[in-house]
Amino acid sequence: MWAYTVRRLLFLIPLLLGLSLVMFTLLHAAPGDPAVSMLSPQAAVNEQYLEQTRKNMGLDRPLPVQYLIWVGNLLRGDFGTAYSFNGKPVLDLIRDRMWGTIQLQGISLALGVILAIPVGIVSATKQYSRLDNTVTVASFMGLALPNFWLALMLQIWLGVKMGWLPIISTGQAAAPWDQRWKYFVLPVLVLTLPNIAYFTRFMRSSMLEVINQDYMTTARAKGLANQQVLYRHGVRNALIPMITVVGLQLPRILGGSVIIEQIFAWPGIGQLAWDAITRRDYPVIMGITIILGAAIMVTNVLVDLVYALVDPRVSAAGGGARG
Amino acid sequence: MTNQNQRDPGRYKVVSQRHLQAQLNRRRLLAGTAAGSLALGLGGRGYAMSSRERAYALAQADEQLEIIIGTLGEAPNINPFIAQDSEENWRCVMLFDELVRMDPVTYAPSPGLAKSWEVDGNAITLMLNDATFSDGTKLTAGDIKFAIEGHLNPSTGSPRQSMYNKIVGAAEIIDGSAEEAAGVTVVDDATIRIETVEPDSALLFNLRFIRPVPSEQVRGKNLATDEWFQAPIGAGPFKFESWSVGADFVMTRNENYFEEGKPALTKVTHRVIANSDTLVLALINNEIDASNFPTPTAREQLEANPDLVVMIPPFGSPNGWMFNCTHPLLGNRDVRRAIAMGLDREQFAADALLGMGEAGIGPIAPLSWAYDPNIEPIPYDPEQAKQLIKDAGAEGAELRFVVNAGNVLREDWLIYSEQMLKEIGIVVKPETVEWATLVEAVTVRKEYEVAGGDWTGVTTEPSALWDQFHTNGAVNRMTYSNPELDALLDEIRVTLDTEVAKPIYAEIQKILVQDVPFLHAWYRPFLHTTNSRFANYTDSSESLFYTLKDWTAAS
Repeated sequence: MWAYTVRRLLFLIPLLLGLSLVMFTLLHAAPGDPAVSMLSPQAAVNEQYLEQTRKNMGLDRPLPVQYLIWVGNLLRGDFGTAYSFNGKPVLDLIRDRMWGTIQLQGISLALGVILAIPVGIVSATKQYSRLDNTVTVASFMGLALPNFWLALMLQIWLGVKMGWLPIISTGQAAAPWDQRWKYFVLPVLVLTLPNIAYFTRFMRSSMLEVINQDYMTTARAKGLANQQVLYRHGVRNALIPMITVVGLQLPRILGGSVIIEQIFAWPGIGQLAWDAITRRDYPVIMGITIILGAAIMVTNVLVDLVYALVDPRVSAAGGGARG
Repeated sequence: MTNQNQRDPGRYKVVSQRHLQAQLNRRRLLAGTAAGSLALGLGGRGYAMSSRERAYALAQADEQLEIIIGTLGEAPNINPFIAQDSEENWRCVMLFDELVRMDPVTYAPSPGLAKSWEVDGNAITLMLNDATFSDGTKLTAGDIKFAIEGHLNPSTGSPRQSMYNKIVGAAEIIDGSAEEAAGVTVVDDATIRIETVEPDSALLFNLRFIRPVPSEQVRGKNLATDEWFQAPIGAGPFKFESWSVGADFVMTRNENYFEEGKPALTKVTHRVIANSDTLVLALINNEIDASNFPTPTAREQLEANPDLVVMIPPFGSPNGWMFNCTHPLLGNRDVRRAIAMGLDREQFAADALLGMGEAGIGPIAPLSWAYDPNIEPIPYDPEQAKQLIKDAGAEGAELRFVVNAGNVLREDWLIYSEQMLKEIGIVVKPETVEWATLVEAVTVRKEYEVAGGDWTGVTTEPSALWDQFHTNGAVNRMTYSNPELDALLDEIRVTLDTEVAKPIYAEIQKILVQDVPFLHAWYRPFLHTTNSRFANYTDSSESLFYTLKDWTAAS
C-alpha cells in the first residue's frame, strides 16, 4: 500500500513537467504578445519600446532557455513575478485568491452532497412515486438552468427588489462576522443548486443498482427489517461510487468558476486566470496551471486510495477484483 | 437611511488596524491632546474599545467621506513611468498629480504641480507650487528633472519617450551616451527650465504625464520593474493604502496635499466588478457610489434610482473603419470613398446607438479648440458608390472586416456594414477576434484589411494626429501617405499660437475626411453615474473622476 502510494505520487513529477511543457508551448504558440498587451496599442508600434519591454519581462531570450529558467525557478519554489497585477509574485496572487474560491466552492460542494444523499436515497426507495417524479423533474431543471441567468434573476429579486442581500461580494472579508454570511447566500445558492441536482441523480441510480443486488435479497431472507437492509447494507454500498463522483468535483474547489466569480464580483482563482489569459500574463497562467494540475492529480490519487480503503473488492496492489 | 444600511455594512465600522493607528498617531501629533483625548475618550474605555468600536467612533468624530467607484477592468500597474491603460493613468493622477493639468472641459493646459509657466521661444520655464510628497519629503525641481529623464531613459521603456524627445539632450539619453538632459535645468528648488531643439506645440500638454516620484528613493532603480512601485509615494491628493488585485484598490486622503483643504474625500475605493450587468445592479442597489462604465442600455433603470445622477459625457474619439492602404484595392482612394458613401452613418447612429450616440465626421473631438464645425462629411450616396466601385474594377471584391469580439456596438457596426456594402458590390467577410489578438495583428504585424474601432482620432491634444497620419507617424497603422498632409502636420507641430493653428487644422480635417484613410463614423455613447450625496464634480470625456480631489459632500 505504501509503496503503491509513493509510486503514484512520484509519477506525478514527470506528469507535471509534461503539463508545464505543453502549457508553455501552447501559450507561446497562441496569438497575442504580452509585451504588446502591456504597452497598449499606441506604444506597441515602436520597435524600440517593444524590445525594451520584452527585455524587462525576460521575453528576449530563446524559448527553450525561457522554459528552463522557469522550471529552475519553480524547483526552488519561485513561481516568478506577474507582468501586470501590480508586479506581485505569482504565488502571492494565487494565495490571495485561493481562500475566497475554496470557501465558496467548498461550502457549495459540501451542501450539495449533504442535501443530495438523503434526497437520492428516498427517491430511489420510492421509485416512480410522486416524490420521486418531483425530484427527477426538479433535478433536470437544476441541471438545465444556466447559472448566469439564475444568478442575475436572484440578484434582481433578492438583492434589488426585496433588499435582503448584497449583490456584490467584494469586501466581504472585511465585514463583521454577523454580516458576512449575507454575502455568501447568493453565490452559494447558485453554485449549490446544480450540485444538488447532479449528486441526487447519481445517488438515486447508484442506490437503485444496489437495491437489486443478490446480497440485498439475502439480507432480507435472513429476516432483517426492510429499513435495516436499506440503510445498513444498501446505503453503504451505494455511497462507494459517490466517492468517485465527488472526488472528480474536488478540483473545482481550487479552480473556481469564472462566470459566478464575475457576476458576484467574488475575487477568486477563476477570475484571476481569466484576467491573466486576456492580458497574456504568462507567469500567472503557468502558475495557476501547475497548481491546479497538481491539485487534480493529487485528488485523483487520493480518490483511488480511499476507494481501496472502503471497497474490499478493489486492491491497492493493482490486482483488481478478487471476486 | 435604509439604503445606507443595505450597502456594505463594514464600510463605516471596519477600518484596517494600520490605517486606524496612523490616524490616531497623526491626530495626536498634529492636533495635540484635544483631538487625541476625543478619540480615546469616546466610549470612555480607551484602548479597551474593540477596533470596530474605535473605528466607528472615529468615523463619527472625523466626518469620514468615503466613496466606492466601480470599474469593469483592473489597472495592470500603478507606475507613472509605464502607465498606459485609462484606469492606470487615472490612479497615477490621484497618487502623483501632474506637473501641468488638463482642464477637464476645455482640454487646455492648466496649473498643476506647476503653478505658472512662461514660454519663451524654444524654452518653457515652470514655477512649482510648494508641494510635499505624502511621506513629508519636499517636492523639488530636481524631482521633476528626474521624472523627465526617467521617461527618456531607454531602460524604462516608457511609452511616452517620444513626447519628450525634442528636449535638448534627449537624444544623448536615448542612445545611452548621457544620463542627464542638458536642456532640463534646475534653476532653483521651485523653478525648472526646459529647452527644446525646435518649438514644440505639444510639449506643455505632454507635461501632464510628468507625475513625479521622490527621486532619492528610486534613483538607480529600474523605473519599469522595481518593487518600489507596488506601494509608491507621490504628491497627489490621495495616497496609496492597499491593493487587493482584481478587487479593491484603496487610497486615503493625503494630509500633506499642497492644495489647502483638499481633498474632502477621506477614502477612495476603486472596486473591480468585471460583469457589466452586476455593475449596473450594484449602482441601482447603492452598493457602489459611482462609475464611468454603466452600459448605456441601463439608462432608464439607473435614472429610476433617485439617489443617482446619470450623465452622458461629451464625445471623445469616434469609432469607424480603418483601412490598410497597402492593400491593392484599399490603397485606392476611390474605393475607400465608395465604402464611406455606401454607409449611412446617420441611420446607424439613430438605430443602433440608443439615442445617445451620434454620427461622426472627422478625427478631432467636437469640444476641442482645433475642431472645425464647418467640416463637410462624405454624403451617403449608394449610386455614386456603386459607380466608383465599378470604375475601380472592385466589383464583387471580397474584403475582410474585423472587430474585437464582445464589443456589441462594434459587432452591430460590422453586421450593418456587411449588409449595406453588399448593395454597392463589396463582399464583406466579417470576422471577430479577441482584443489582444486584434491589437497584435493591427499594430505589430499590420496583417489586416479593414479593422473596426477607435484606433485614430484625438480628444485632447490635436497634434497627436501627426503620429497617426503622417507618413513617418509612429501609430500610422494604415501605412497612409499623403505629402500634402505631411507638410501641414509638420507645420502644426512647431506652431505655438492656437489662432494660427486653427485654419491649418481645418485644412488637415478636410483632407482626412475626403481621403478617408480612416472612416470616422460614429461616437459611442457612454454613461457616467454618481450618487447624489456628492457635489462639485466635473464630467469629462476622459473620466468623471479626473477631478476627484475637488469632490465634496452635497449639503
